[in-house]
Amino acid sequence: MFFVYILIALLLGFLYSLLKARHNFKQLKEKMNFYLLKIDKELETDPNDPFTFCIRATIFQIMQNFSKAKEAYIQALMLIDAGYPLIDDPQKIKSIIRRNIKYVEKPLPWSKGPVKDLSNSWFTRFLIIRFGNQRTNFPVTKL
Amino acid sequence: MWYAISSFIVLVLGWFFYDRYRMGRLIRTRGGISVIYEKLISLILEGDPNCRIIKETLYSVYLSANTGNSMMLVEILMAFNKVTITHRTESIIFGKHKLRWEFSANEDQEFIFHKMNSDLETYLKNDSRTRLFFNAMNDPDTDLNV
Repeated sequence: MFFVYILIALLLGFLYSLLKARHNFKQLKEKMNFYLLKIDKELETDPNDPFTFCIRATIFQIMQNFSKAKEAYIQALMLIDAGYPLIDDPQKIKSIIRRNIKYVEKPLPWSKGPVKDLSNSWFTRFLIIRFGNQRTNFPVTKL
Repeated sequence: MWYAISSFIVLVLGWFFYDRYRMGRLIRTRGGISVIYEKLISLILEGDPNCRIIKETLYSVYLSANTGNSMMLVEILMAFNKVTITHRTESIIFGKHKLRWEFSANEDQEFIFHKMNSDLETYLKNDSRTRLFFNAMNDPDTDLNV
C-alpha cells in the first residue's frame, strides 16, 4: 500500500510539472514576441549588425522556431565573415553560432529529420529543459 | 500537542517577519521601490500627462491620474520575490474596472509595461461597457470632436 501512495505522489508531481511547463511556455512565448518586436526595431536602425542577428536567432531558438533561428544564425555568420564589426572576439562568437546551429538542427538527442518549427509545442520545451543538447543563449534581455 | 501546534505557528510567523525584514532591507539598500521600478514608473507617467506619484511606502508605490470624470490608480507592490501591479479605473460613464498582474521581482520593466498595455487593450475591447467607445476610438472614420 505504501508504494501505491508513493506512485500516486510521483504521478501527481509529474502532472504538476507538466501543467507548470505549459503555463510557463505560454508566458515565455509572450515575452519572446515582445523581444522580437524590439529586435526588429533595432534591425531597422542597423540592419547589418551581426550581434543583433545573433540575439534575433536566440529569440527564435527559445521560441522553438528552429528553422527561423537557423536562418538568423546563418545571416549573422555571413555578416561576420563580411567583416562587420563586433565588440566581442569574432572567432568566439562564430564558434557559439556554429554550436547553436547544431542545436537548432538537433535540439534533443533523439531529434531526426529537417529543422522544424516547434513553437507551439510546450512539451518540447519540457523535454529540452531536461534533455536538450548544448546551446548558448545570446543576451536577449540586454536589448 | 498544543506545544507542537503553537511552536509551529510561532516558527511560521517568525519566518514570515524575518523574510519581510530582509525584503525591506533589500529595498532600502537599492534606494526604495520608486528607484527599483524607475523605468516602469516613468513609462506609466509618460503615458498620461495627468499621472503622478501620490504615495510611496517601503513596499509599494501608488500612481494616480484624475481628470474629474475619471480616475486611474496603479499600485506597484513588491512582495518577496514577486511584484504585483493593480490597475484600477473608475469613471462615471464606464464604471469601475480592476486588473491585476503578478511578475517576478526582476522582470524586465519594459515587458511589464507592454504586457499591461496589451492586456488592458484586450480587456477594453471585450468589456461590454467600454467596447463601443474603444472601437469608436480606433475607427478612423469616427470624429470624436463632434
